[in-house]
Amino acid sequence: MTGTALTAAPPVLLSLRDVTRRFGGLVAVDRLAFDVPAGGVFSVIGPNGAGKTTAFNLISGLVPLSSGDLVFKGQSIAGTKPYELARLGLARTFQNIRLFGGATVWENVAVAAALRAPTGFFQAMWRLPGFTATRRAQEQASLAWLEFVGLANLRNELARNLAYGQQRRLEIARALATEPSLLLLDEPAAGMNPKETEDLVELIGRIRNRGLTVLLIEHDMPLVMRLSDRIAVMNFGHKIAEGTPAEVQAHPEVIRAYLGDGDEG
Amino acid sequence: MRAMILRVLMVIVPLILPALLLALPQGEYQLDVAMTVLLYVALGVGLNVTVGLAGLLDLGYIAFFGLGAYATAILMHGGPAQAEALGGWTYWMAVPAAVAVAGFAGLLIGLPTLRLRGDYLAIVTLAFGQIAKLTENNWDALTNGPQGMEVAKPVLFGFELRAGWQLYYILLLFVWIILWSVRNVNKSSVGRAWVAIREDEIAAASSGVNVPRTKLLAFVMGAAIAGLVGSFFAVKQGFVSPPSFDFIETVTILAMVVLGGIGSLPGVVLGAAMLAALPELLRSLPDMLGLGGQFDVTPYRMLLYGTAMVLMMAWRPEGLLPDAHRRAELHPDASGEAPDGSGEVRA
Repeated sequence: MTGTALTAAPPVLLSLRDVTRRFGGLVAVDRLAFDVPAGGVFSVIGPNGAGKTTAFNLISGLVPLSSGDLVFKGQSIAGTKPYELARLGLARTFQNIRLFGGATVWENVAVAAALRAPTGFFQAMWRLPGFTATRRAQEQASLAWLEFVGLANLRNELARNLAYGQQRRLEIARALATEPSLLLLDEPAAGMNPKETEDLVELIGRIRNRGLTVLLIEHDMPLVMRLSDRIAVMNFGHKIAEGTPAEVQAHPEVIRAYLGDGDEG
Repeated sequence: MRAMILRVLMVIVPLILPALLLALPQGEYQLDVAMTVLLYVALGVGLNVTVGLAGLLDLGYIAFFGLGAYATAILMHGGPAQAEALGGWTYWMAVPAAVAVAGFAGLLIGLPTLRLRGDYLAIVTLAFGQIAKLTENNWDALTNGPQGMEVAKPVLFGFELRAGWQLYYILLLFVWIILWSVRNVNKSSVGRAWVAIREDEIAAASSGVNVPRTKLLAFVMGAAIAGLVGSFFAVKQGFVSPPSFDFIETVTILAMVVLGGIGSLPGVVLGAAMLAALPELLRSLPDMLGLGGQFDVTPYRMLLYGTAMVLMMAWRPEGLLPDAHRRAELHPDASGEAPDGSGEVRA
C-alpha cells in the first residue's frame, strides 16, 4: 500500500495485464487490462462480439493467451490448466450451459465437491480407511450447495430434465462446490424470465455476502447496474471505460458504443 | 430385489457350478467351458473400465492380457533358456508381478496417447497391440517365438492344482476381486469423474477434475485387470504362444461389452457369458437335436457375432442390461428416470 492512500483499497484478487488474444488476423481481445478487487461484484459489459466471453475463456484457462499476463492472488496463472485453476480458487459457469446432463443433479455437484475432499484411487477401490469420511464430505457438501441454490429437492433428477433456470442454478452450485474465491458467471440471466432473474439477483447477493468475488458478464443492464460495484466496458476487444455503475453510465464512449453516433443513422 | 437376483447369479451360482457341471456327461469339458466364460467375463469387465466407464477406445487391450500371461510364464520358468536369474518364482509371486507389468505397460502407452481423442487413440492402441504380438513372435530368447512356452500348474501348500475345479475356484476368486474393485471405483468420486469426462470434458476440467490423470487411471486399471486374467490364462492353458493374443480377441471382448451394455457391470457380465458360451452351446446343439456330426456351427461364430452386433446397434444401442448414465446419454429425448442404486442420495 502506498502511504498516500487515504482509505486502504481492498487487495487485488485478479489482475489482467495487457491480455491479448488473436485468432488468425482477428484480435478478439486487445491489451485488456483491469484489476478485480477482492470482494464484491465486478461486471464486464459490452455489445455482442466485444470479446467478453473470449476474455472469460482466457481467464479460466480454456484459451491460451497470445500475449500479456494474468495474475491471480499474486501469482501468474497464464498457461495454467483449468483444473489447476479450480484448485487455486477460480470457478466458472458457461454461457451455453454445460452440465453433465445424463448424471443426476447431486452427482453434478459431487464431481466438483471431490476437489476439496478427494478420494484416493486405492482408497475407493478397496474401501480403505478414510473412504467413508471423504464420501460423506462430498455428499454433504453437494447437498449443502444444492440447498444454497434451492435445488435440494431435485437432487435425484437427471440434470437435463431440469427447467432452464434450474439448470443455470445447478451450474452455479457446481462451480461453488469447488470452493472458489473468484466466481466467473457468463451471462447467467440469459434466457431467464423476470421471476428467475429476480431469484438470480438474490442468489448472487448471497454469494457475495459469503465473501466471494463475482466476475460477471451480462447483457441485462438493469441487473448489472443493481449488482455491480465496478464495471469494465469492452468494445471491439478493447476496454473503453471502467468505473462505478454511475460513472460508466455517464461515460460518452459507452453511450456511443451502445447507441452509436448520431451520424451513423 | 434386483440386487438379490444379482447376488444369487454372481455369487451362489458360480460357487456351486462345478458340482453341477461335473455331474453332467463330459463334466470336465463343461467345466472348461465355464472357465472360458469366466475368463471372458473378467476380460470384458476390464475392457469396460477403459471403453465403457472412461470412454477411451482401446483396441490393443488383448496385448495387456498377453503381457500378463508372458510375464507369468517367464517369471515361473525363466523363459526358453530356463535362466535361473529370471525364473523360479511361484505362481503366487508371479500374479502381482504380472498385474504390475501389464499396468506399467498401460501407463507407458497411456501417458503420451491419452491427449489424443477418439479415433486417434484407437489407432495408437491398435498399433500397440500389433507391436506386442510381433514382439512375442520374434523375441525368441525371451518368449521362445512361435513355439511358445509351457507353464506349470500353480502349487498351493505343496499340492499341485491341476484339477479343473481347483483352477476354476482360483479364477472365480480373481473374477470376484475384479468385480468388487471395479464396482467400488465406479461408485466413488472417481467413477463420477469418468461420467463427467464422458459427458463434457471442458466442464469436467473447469469443475476441478484432473482430466488426463483420471483417464490414465481408467486405462491403467483396465490394463492391470487384463494382466491378472492373463496370469491365470497362462497356468490354466499350461502354455503361452502368440496366436492367443490376436487382435480378433480384442474385437470379441469389445463385442461382449457392447452387447451386454457398455458401462454396465451386470450387462458386461451377461454379454461376455452369452457370447463366450454361445459357440459351445451351438456346438452341442446338433447332438441334442439328434443331428450329431451332420454339421458344425463353429464356423458361423463370426457371422453370429456380426448379426447380433448389427441388430443390437439398430434397436438397442445401450445393450441388454444398460447402464443408467449411458441410457440417458443415448436417448436424450426419453424422459429418463434417474440412474438408480448408486446415484441415490438422501439428505
